[in-house]
Amino acid sequence: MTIAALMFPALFVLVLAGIPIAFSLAIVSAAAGLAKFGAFAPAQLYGAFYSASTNFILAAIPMFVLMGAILERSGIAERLFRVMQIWMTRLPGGLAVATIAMGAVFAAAAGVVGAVEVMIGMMAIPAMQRGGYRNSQIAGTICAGGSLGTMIPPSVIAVMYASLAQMSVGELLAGMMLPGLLMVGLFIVYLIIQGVVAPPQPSADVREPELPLIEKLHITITSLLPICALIFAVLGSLLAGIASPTEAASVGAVGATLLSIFYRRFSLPMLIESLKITVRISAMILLIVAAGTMFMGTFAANGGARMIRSFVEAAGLGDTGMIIFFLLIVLLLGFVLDWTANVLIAVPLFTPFIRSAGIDPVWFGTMMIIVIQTSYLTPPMASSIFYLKSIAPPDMTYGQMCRGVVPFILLQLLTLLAVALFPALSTWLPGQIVGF
Amino acid sequence: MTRLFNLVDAFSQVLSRIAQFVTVVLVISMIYEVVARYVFGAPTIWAFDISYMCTGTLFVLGAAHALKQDAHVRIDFLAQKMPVGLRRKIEGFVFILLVSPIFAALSKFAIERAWRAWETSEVESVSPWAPLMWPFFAILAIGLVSLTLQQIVHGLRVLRGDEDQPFKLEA
Repeated sequence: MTIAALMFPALFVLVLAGIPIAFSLAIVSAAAGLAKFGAFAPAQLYGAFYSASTNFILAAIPMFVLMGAILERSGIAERLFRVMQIWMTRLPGGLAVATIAMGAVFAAAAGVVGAVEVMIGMMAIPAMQRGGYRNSQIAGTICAGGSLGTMIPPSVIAVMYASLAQMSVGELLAGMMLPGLLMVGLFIVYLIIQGVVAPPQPSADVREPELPLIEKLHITITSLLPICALIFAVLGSLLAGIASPTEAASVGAVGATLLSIFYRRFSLPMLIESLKITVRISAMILLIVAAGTMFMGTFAANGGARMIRSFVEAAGLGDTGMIIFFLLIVLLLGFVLDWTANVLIAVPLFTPFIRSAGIDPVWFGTMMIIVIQTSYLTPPMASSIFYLKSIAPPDMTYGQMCRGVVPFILLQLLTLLAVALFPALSTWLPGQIVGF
Repeated sequence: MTRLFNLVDAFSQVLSRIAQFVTVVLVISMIYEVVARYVFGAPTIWAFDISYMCTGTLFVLGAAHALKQDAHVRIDFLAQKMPVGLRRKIEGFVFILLVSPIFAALSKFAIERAWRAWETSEVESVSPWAPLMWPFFAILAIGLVSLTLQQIVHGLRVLRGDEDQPFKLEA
């Protein structure tokens, strides 16, 4: 048990020393594995590695990433952003709302930690600066929009969560649907109020010439509808229980390719570039999955689960106390680990307690994913801010970014509170959909 | 030495090209399965095995090149405040003394596993398709070996200060 207790501090030291998370996990698991299994440690670690690399459900991840990469690389994403700008410039805070909406639509590429954020950031920062938005507001909007990828289906996090907790992926995605929409709604309402109270001050008149209505409609029908159709095809088949996540993901990847052909944006270099991105990101995510599986295997073998259980029992927490305690751990883990490692560690650890206490796993899963999203946004160790920094103009400071995300963190916590108080928000929809 | 390093880089890159190709295979075989099941009502018996094998393959073969590109996520906001020399030493020694021996041990086991599967003509036991397993085990072994080599090269490079910015973070 001592070894199990030492595993987390050792992991944090390595991660904070700047060692990639996957390798930090592998080092700690190897040390703990040697202590427990001696010469059999490699066999044990390889077993974990093998089970991670043969997980059927995880096959959805590369294909969702590919779908996102193709939509981005072919310029379809940019086109969509333009359409949203056209319709929303009249709205107070319209550009910010368009940015959030982009984040929600491109949630598909969520597995790409920060990729959604970088993508919408590169389009939205120049546009918003020209539109006279304050830097802190720009930063907050982009970080929040990027983080939506965790909540809006088809979220790769949910795919992984469900596969670890042995739940139906479709059920969890359906459960997250209403809370996700609620969160987007809160973001948009907040941005509109902001736009009314403190309207952005464009330095010069940069308003684009108003297009004739027929032109607007034409652009919208040719840009917005096909993408919406693609997203509905993917989500619909998944949620209706017709297709497995893997199959839905392949429909998404092929659909994105067809769209790019339809827009005459398809080219071999574009496809190869998208494939490169896909392999790089999938390798990154799945290596963490493999190392995280090793970590949890050796943690359990060294009595880690027993340790947690005796702690939870000794603390005498009720169901509510236990849920709060678990969510706090997830929040703390989220500061040090990325979401992949966080889900990999937290889900196997908590699922048995959740099940034996009779707590609805969809409800708990939804709350946990909101908390992961919040930890992704909360300074000082917010990965969303680090990603933003990599693309931010020099006049945007770290302090502005931290100030900018605060309102969105509060709105996320409000969503969490709503789900906690009204479990039906997450449990009603899955019950309505046939197939579960 | 540099030439040896470049050789390892090239090996990783070739494997990641194969991984890109395998991604295409994965998408095509899955969409084939979708069409076969929902349009023709005749699901394939191999889609399940192919999907997990492709996923395993594309990730194991892509991992080394991802390391070369520094694409494995790290949290470096504290580490960035360390003096560069210290950070180089930590990174270099951790990779050479800890990470690469672990992956070398894994590679050795993976090679033995592939060899055993080859000798016994092992087949996938839970699948109706029952494919031979040694090619997949061999791919895992090759991927692990290349990842191990790339880790050693990365560690040595960092220690020697070869790259101006070994810790750049790719978005």
